[in-house]
Amino acid sequence: MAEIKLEHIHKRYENAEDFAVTDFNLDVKDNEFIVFVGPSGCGKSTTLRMIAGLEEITEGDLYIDADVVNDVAPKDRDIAMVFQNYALYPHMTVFDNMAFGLKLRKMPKDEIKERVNHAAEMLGLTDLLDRKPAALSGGQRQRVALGRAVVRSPKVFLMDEPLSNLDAKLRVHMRTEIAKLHEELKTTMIYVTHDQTEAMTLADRIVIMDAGVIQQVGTPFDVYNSPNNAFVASFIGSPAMNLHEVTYSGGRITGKGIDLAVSAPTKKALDQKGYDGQTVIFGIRPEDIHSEQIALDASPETVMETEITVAELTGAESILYIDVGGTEMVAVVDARDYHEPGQTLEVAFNMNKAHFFDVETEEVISR
Amino acid sequence: MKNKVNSLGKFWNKPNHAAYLFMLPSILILLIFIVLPLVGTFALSFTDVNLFFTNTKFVGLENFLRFFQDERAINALINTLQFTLLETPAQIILGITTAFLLKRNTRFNRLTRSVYYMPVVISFTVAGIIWAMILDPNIGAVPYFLFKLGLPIPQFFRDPNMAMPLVAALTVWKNFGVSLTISLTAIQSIPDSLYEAAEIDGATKAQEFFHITIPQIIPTIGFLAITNLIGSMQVFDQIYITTSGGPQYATESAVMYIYSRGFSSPYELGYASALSAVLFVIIAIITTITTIITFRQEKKMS
Repeated sequence: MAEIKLEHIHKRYENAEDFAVTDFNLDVKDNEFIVFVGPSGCGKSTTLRMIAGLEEITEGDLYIDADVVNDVAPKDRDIAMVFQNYALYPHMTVFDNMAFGLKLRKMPKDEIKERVNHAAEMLGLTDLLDRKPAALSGGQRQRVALGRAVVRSPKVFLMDEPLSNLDAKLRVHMRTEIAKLHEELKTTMIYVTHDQTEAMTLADRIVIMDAGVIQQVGTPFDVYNSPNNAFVASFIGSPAMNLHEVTYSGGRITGKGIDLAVSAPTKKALDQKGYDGQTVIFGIRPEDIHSEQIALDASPETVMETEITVAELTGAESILYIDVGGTEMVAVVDARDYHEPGQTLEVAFNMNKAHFFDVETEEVISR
Repeated sequence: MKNKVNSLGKFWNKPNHAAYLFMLPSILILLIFIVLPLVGTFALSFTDVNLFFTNTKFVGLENFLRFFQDERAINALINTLQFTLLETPAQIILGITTAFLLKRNTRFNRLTRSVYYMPVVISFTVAGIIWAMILDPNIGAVPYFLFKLGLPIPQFFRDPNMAMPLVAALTVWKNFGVSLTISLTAIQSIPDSLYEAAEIDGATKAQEFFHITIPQIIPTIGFLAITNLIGSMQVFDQIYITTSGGPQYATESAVMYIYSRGFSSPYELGYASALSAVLFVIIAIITTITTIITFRQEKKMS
């Protein structure tokens, strides 16, 4: 139960010239599930570790509730952290691993027992309390790491890529477990990941970072549908959004093999902002490129002839790599129609869903 | 032709046979310099052989019975145990603690570690001479400053109560760099995240040391204990240089006494061999006990 406020947080490591994190501002609401996402080295873990108190804050103020905690030791911040490699104490049993923090806080033995047993029940660890970490599977270790945080009932839960050491199936399972845990505990959680799917599925709000700078903060819906810039557009969503430089002129965009009319609202925005005759970045999500007859019929003015270079069947959908007059694009289409490389394919672009970004700043022009 | 180049022939090509061939040099060295002298010592201990091998005859257990009557031998053994009890724990504790404090690879820590390791590379003879001179009541630097400060000047190596602790301290000073280096590698292999988790759990630096570091390096502590115990039980050089076993045999160690029996008049090599055999058995017992303790602790931890 806590609000966290990061005000102009900067981090520069010793002997480093550049800031690892630059001017990070964020208000985390009580009980909110925040996910920091970005490519490796973007500063997301560094920011989390600053909140934990494991890294010093170079500049700026960090508030937990009303207090500035920049110089408060980790143990006095009332936080718990789950590490990527779990960081379980190898020589202690599961019980002792979870009880360690409570013992250090001189909690009465009965209460420790009660709390650990409660957490163990919640996480399905009751039968494993006497085991040592070496005798546990990856998923079980992950649960113990969560349990160690749960027993403390901290104000804030911090998780640093907690699922990246698990195999794909277990990862999806534990993702749901973490979502449930958040429901049950009603604690503020900050979660770091490089996996945009984890971010999309878990977060109340996502913080997308690149090169130490926040690119966008928003709900999963917002960041997916209204990306602030080309980086967010390409990072969120899988397969990634198609982004191509095109020339805009008189309501049409033209590029290598591309010649499309933009939607009326887009035309208005582009004209108003003086992009007529300019180069812009045209972005379209793979699922907004359609191949069904009904879509082709609906917007014949956006239909283009393409050639399939690679077809990947994922089950319900096919991911098609298509050659649009020399420009490589990716489309996600219904797998009911059979596709194979070399085929020609007529596709329709849903220009209402197209995104346009400035070529210099990569900031969004029109959504 | 090609086959002959690539193989040693049918017999040696069998995996086991070839392995023994590769082990042969080590086995030979072990046999000639360890096993043979060991067996030889045990054999000689049942004779009254002297250094010049004249009039040798078999005397059975006489040498061993003599040991139990020999007050100087018992005294030497007690001195050795005393030295070991002073030296080994001190060296291990100092080594591990220093390694823990210097575990981060900062420039200062690297420099400090090198400084602590420096005495290791000089010989005990040199270290002994240096400290004997620094602490010499007549010409030493320390007594000089004590005198200047108007403080009483102790006799250091000439004081029967001080001599053995001083020799032990000198040994710790000279050798704890080894314990430091060995425990450092063990300590540095502990993942940082364990300490970070403990920090968030609320552990102080001391609690991290006792709850994380120590349990993680039990095998290393065992190794240090065993090698150190063996070395301490065979202490010789530094005592020979600083006190020559004095004053009044207060610092005479087992190996020193053995040496004086065998290599000074009347050159009783047989008796010296018997004493060596006794020392060997004692070291073997101590080592075995230490190994068992370490093994049990290790099992408890993993």
